[in-house]
Amino acid sequence: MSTPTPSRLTAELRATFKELADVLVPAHGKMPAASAVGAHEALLDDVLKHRPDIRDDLLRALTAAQGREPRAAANDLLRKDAAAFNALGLAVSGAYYMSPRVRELLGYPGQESVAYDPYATPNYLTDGLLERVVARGPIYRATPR
Amino acid sequence: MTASGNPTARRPQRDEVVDVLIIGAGPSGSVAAKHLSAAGFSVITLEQGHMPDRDLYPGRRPEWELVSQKRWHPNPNVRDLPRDYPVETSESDINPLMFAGVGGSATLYAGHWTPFTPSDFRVKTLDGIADDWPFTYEELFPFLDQIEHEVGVSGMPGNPAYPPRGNFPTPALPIGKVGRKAASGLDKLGWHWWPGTNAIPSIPYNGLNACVLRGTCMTGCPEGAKSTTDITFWPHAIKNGARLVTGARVRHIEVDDRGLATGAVYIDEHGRERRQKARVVIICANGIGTPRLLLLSASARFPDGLANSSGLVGKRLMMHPFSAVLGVYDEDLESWRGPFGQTIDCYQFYETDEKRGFVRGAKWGAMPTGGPLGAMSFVGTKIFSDREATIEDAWGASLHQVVGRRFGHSIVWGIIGEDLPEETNRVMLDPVVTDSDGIPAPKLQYRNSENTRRLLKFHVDRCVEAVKAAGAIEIVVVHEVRDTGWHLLGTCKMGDDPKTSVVNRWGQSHDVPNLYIFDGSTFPTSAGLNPTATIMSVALRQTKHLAAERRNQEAA
Repeated sequence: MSTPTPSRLTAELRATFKELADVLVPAHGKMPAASAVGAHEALLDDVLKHRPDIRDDLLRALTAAQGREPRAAANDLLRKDAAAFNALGLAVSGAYYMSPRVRELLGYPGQESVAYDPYATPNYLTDGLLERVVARGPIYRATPR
Repeated sequence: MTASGNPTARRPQRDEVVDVLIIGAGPSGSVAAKHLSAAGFSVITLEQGHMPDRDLYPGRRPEWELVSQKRWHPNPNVRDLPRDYPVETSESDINPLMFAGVGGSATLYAGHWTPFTPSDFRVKTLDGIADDWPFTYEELFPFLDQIEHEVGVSGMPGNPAYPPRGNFPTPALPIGKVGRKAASGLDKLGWHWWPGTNAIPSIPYNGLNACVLRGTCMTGCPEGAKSTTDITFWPHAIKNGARLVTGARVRHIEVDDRGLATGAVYIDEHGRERRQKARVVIICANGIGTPRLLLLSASARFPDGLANSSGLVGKRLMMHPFSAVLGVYDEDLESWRGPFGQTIDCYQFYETDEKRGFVRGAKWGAMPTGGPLGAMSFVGTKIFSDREATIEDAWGASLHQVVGRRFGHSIVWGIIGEDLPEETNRVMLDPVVTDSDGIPAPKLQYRNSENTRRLLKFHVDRCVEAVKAAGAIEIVVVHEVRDTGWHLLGTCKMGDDPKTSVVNRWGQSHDVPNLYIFDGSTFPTSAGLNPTATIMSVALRQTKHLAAERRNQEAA
C-alpha cells in the first residue's frame, strides 16, 4: 500500500525539499546552491502561494523522496512520476530565480520599466540598415486587375 | 428596423428589446458596439468574462514567469478558470488559445499588428488555391486606417511588404538590441526586415499609456499600454449609451416562426437563465465560440445548427501552425526587455514561389525571451528543453550553463505559416465535456497538412540561416509548436454563394437575415499573419454597412 500524500508541508518534507533542491541546483561557478539562497524557505512558500496547483504533486514527490539519498530519489521520480518531478523542478527553479541574490548575480533587474524618447531618430535610419531594405524595392504582390 | 439616431439615448435595460445584441466583447464585438451605439442604435453586449483589472496582471511582480505558466497561460485548458470554457483537443495537432473577458483574447496577445497584404485577398486568382475574398485589400484599407487610429498603432511607414500608405498614429517602438541583432542577420543575406508594427503606442494615446518596454505583454499589460478594447473602445461605447453585461454566457440563439433571430438565452453570473431580445444579433465569439454557439442553436427549423444550410458551420478551421527558432548570441542583448510585440519582422518569403514545393508563405517576428525561466520556455510553455533529458542533462551544472548562456542573450523568432482551409479541420460539439454552466464544450478535429509541414520546414531552414548570419552560438528549433493556436479563423466562411458560405460579404447570414457574424470565423483564408488588424477592420466595414442599411434591415 502506498504512503498517503500529506496535506501540508512539514518541517521534515521541507528538509527533503532542501536536499533535492541542491541536487537540481547545486553551487556552480559564481552561482550559489538553491539552499544557500533560501529556496526551501520563504521562497518556497512564495512559489506555493502563487502556484497552489502544484502543491499535491510536490508533496507527493517529497513524500516519496523522504529518507532517501536525494540524487537517487530525484532520478526515480523523473522515471516513475513525471508530474511529481515536474512540480519539484518548477518549485525549485521558480524559487531559485525569484531570489534577489540570484537575479543580481545574473544581471537580471526583473521586468523593468525603461525610459526612452519615442521621437528619437533610430540608428537604423541613420546608418543605412533600413535604407538597404527600401532600396531593394516592393516585395508584395499587387491586387490583380 | 428603426434606430433612435440619438447617440445620447437612454441606456437599454437588461431584458428590454434592443436594436442590436452583440455576443462577445473582444476586438470585433467592441468595434461593433462602439460604432453602432455612436450611430444611435440601442446596443447590449453579452460577454462571458469580466472587465479586466490591470492591477492583477503579474508583469511587475517577481512571480511573473511562474504564474505565466498557469493563471496567465493562453491555453484555457491550462488556466482552467470558471469563466473559460474547456476545449476537447485530443484529435487536434494544435491547442486553441483564447481568453474570456472584455477585450477578448487580445488581453493575452502580443499586439503584433500585421494587416493582411493584397495577395491574401486573392489566393484563388493568384495561386489557384482556396478562395478569393469578396473584397480586396484596397476596399478594406480605409477601414484599416480608421481602426489603426482608434487602436493607437505604433510603426514605421514605408514597409516594402505593403503598398505605400501614410504614417501610423504613434512612432515605432525602439527595436532594442534584440531587434538590431535580428536585423543584422537579415541584412547580411539581403533579406527583408522592418521595425515591428504593434498595437502598442509609444506615446499616450486614446486612454492608453505609452509602452515602457516591460516585455510582459502576453500576460496582460500592467501599464495599460497594450491596446485592448476595454481601454480603447468600451469607454466610448458606454458613453454612447451601449450596455455591457459581463459574466453572461450565451446558451443559444432563438428564432421566430419566420426563421428570424429574436435574441439569445444566456446564463448570468449567478447561474440564472435569462433572455435578451433583439432586432438584430451579431456574433463575435471567435472561430471556435461562434460555430459552437450556432451548433448549440439547432432547432426543429434548423436541425443542423443555425445558419448552417451550407453545412460549413465549424468547418475550415484555421489556427496558423507555428514554429519557433531560438538564437543565442555572445553579446548581451538585454533580451528580457520588451516590447514582446515584435521588435522586427520579416516578409522575405511571404509570397508564393511554387519552386519551394508548397503554396503561400509565412511571416517571422523577432521577440525577446523574458527572464531566466524563458531560457527553456516560450509564452508559458517549456519548449526549448529536451523532454527526454536526464537530471544530469537538464539540471545541476547543466542548468546553470544553459541559463548563463541564454538568459539575456537570446532572440526567439516566431514563424506564422498560412493555414489553408480544409473541411476536415473542424469544430464540433463534444458529447461529454461541458463548461461550468453545463453547456456542451467544443471539440476540435484538426491536423496540420502536408503543405503546412513543407512550408514550416522551408521557413525554419531559412530562419536558421538568418540566425547563423547574425552570429548565433546556439540555435534551438521547435517545429509545429502545440500551444500556438492564437488565431481562430475560417469556421463560418464569408462568400457570395449560400451553398458554399455561411455569411455574405457583409457578414450577414445567408439563412437568417438578421443574424450577423463579424469575427475572424468569417475569413475565407487565413494569410500568414497575426489577424487582429484585419479582424477589427473587417468588423468596422461590416458595422458601417449594417448602420447604413438600417432601413432595409429585416427584423423579428
